[in-house]
Amino acid sequence: MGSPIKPPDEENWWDVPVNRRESIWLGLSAIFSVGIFGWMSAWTRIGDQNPIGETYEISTEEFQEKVEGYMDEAERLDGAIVPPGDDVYVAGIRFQWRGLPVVVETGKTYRFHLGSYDVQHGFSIRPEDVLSQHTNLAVLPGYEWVIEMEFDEPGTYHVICNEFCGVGHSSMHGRIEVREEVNV
Amino acid sequence: MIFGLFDNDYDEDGFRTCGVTGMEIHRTAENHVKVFGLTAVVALLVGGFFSIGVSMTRWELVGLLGSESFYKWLSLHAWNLLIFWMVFMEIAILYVGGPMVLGRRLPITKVAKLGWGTMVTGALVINYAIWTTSAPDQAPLLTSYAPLPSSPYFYAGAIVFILGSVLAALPFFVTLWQEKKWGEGGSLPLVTFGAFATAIIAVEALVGGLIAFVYAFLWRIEFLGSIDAALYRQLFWTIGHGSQQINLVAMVTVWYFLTHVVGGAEVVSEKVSRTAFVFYVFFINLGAAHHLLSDPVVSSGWRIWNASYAFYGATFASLIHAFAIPAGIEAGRRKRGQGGGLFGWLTNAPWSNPVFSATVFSIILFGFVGGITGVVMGQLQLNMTWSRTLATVGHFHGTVALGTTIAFMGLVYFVIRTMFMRDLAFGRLASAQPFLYAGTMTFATLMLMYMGLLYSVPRRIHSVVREIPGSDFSLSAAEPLMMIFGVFALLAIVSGAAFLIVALASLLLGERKVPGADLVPDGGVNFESDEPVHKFEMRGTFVITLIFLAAFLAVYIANWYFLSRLWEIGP
Amino acid sequence: MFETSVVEMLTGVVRQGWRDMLSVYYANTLIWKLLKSGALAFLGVFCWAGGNLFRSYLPGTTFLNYVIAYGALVFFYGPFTHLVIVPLVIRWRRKRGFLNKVARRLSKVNITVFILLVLIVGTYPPGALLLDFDVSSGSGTDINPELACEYNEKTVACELTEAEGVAQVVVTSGGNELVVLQEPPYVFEVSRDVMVESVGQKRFVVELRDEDGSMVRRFSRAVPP
Repeated sequence: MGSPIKPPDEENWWDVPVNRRESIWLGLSAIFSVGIFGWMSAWTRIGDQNPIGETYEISTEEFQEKVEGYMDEAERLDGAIVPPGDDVYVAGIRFQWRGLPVVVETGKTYRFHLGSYDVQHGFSIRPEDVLSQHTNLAVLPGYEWVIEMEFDEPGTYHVICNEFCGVGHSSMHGRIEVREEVNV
Repeated sequence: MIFGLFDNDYDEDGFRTCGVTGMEIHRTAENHVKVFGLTAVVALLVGGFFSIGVSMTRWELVGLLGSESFYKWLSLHAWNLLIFWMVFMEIAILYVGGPMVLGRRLPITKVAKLGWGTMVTGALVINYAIWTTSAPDQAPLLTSYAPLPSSPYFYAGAIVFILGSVLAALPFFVTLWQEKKWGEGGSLPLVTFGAFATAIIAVEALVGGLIAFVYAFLWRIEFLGSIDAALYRQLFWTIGHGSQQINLVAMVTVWYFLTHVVGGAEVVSEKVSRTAFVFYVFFINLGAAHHLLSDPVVSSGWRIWNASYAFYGATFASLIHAFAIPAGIEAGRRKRGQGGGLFGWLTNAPWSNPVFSATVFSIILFGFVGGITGVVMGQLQLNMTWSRTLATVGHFHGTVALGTTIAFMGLVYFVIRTMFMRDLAFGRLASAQPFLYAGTMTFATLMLMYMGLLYSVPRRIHSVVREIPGSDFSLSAAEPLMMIFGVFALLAIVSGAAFLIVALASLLLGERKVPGADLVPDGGVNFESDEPVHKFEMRGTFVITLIFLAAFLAVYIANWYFLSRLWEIGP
Repeated sequence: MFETSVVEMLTGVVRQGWRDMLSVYYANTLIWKLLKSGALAFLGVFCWAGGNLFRSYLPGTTFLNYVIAYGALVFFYGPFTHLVIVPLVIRWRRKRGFLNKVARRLSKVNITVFILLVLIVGTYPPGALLLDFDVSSGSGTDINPELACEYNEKTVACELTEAEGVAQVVVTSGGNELVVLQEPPYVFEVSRDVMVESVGQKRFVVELRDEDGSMVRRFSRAVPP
């Protein structure tokens, strides 16, 4: 009788045939499930957008020294830091982004070193003229996450913190200036 | 008034036969279901109240609360709804799916009572701790991400609540053990099997949560010198997502139960449905890492494994139920002669019965709104766009509000009619309420999603659309969507309040009425027929699921297209 | 033989699908009307928002304007059709004479009107329909102050620089107000003893406010041991 509140009618309910349409649906679902797994895995090889990078354990004090040192030594262009090489350091601290504003060149791959001096933050970027384009990465204290980024379109990219880090979190804002050429 | 709520007529052994389901119900099982169910509704009331502050502050035109209060209200909204409303209800569901369906007493009732008392204590402590949060402690929100400290009472309260939940779940396991030992043998009814899957996942999630909160508590009281943020996240999300999967499996179990009792649905394939529940048990608890997809520390291999092999096992299981449940309604109703064209079996169903309408809305909306967005957001790379934005908030309102909460509302109406034996107050409003809530909450949820997707409006933030303090940048372009959200959020709150008004008025002021023919489908709950149910047409369900798959593909492909247009991230 | 039956099967599916669509279109019970309206409203919002999202990635693609127009219009027109027009058609078809004649054509007229509306609105979209995806001039002022602190044995000494636009500085610890500065230079020194300790750390908060008293910046710092 197929009641869900009684034991199944048939002793061998396992052998009861499955409706044809249900079987078709099972096949489609299986293909779909395998497909989305396959696509996601393939993208790590063929795609340009993957949240993958080396993580290094580092104390918040050491990371602070590293980033503040980088900021002291770096040259500035219109108030923004010019990274000396390919390494860009960004640290979240309540309630600022240290290392920002920074100016970078289009078409160049930079290694962004993301970390925090205190608590968890969310590194959320979008370009000023197309607000629908967005990525964000978690920023954790005790770790330095080195993740490569390359910007194709010049413009101003705004950085907001999107992980609750305390009252005042809504004022955490920074900028990444992307220009065709960076000449100090 | 309040004591008349526990006074059904039982025989000398304490049993009565339910006139609607035919189940043999023992006094102990029924009374505990009632207590846990009532407590759940109180939690819904409290959490629903706090939603006013949250929505009317995020709607910056109103900007109801200042930032300190906002984060407290957000935490109270989250804990009272996502945890207390859900878990108290789920214990009630375990007692229905176990002892009630099996026609047994509730064993070790003292443990059940102790569990309830402990859970209530934990809930009160958590509410108190959040409400009295003062600097340098911060409101925990749901997750209390270390090393941002919350009040030490918060962690203690969470530990107490979890322990209470484990205690309260024990009588269910004892019932199953008794059934195996002294029962007639043979397979459990499907609803009991579903409840069993729910309970296993629950215990795994709760134990994981205990570890996470004990770790955080020891750090907070300075017993441990430091806390690792990444490890805490990993531990938290064991209960964090595990608890949501409890909600999912409990909801699916409720779907099977209610569609059968009020809609005339039947199980079209025991094999397929049971396999799906087994998949849930094996694959769901590994799904924690899809909260860590845009995180450092966790290797990409582990994230992909966790989000896919493990999780898509669970996704596949959900896709199975996505067909099986409507097919059960279709075939069951066609068997009763209620067919008629492609969708007649659905449209001539008892829609004026809020138990039925709530259940069906839950099924449709969970799939189309909650389910699709969850799988999309759980793709490793797409997660970078979705996470920590209002799109995430839209997703979980799609699953928990449009899915589980609406289903549980239907269940509460059912319990009011069949266990409290009260007529539903304000009959017209009661019939309309699931429609009102489903409609308004759907559009509020969609707006949250669109604000997250179109403008990456952050979640967990006090103000960001009209103004970012100290900056001339803002997301003011999102204002039109925010306005639409605000209006629908208000309407949704009113619709939710309507549920509480109907439920509480029915319980406290309603006429006693033994449930009868108005509650059961045509031909009664048990309908004999020569043909086995899987032989009946399932064409309507097939069309619905194909449309669902098409919607899934459209959203999936669109999201991947957008991602591919972004700047380069990663190796 | 095989080919014919495949073609037959496909035409059969299409024909059945058309029949099903018509029967759904004309279904007139309350629940059908509500479900159809709800589904179309849902579809409308999806097309409107999704169309705009695509437009932000593909500006200048005129096809998208029609998707957006369709979405915005069907949100209202769909429920209108199924809650008002279709029931009217069905009621009038039962009558004779003029009303019957109107009813026979009303559905076609209705859908023609709808398509025309979509074409017109899609070609000349009003501003409200198209969402902006760039930053209009902001409301706040951009300030980027620097807080430099020296941690001495007994005290913490801090200086706030580049603080244009800041009218007030309030220093607190554990919720207790320690120092309030109403005008530059924003320099202060606070004793370590008055700082509140929590989870093994002494912390203090420096809040910058504008003339209206609203927060423009906050610094939350830990005092190293």
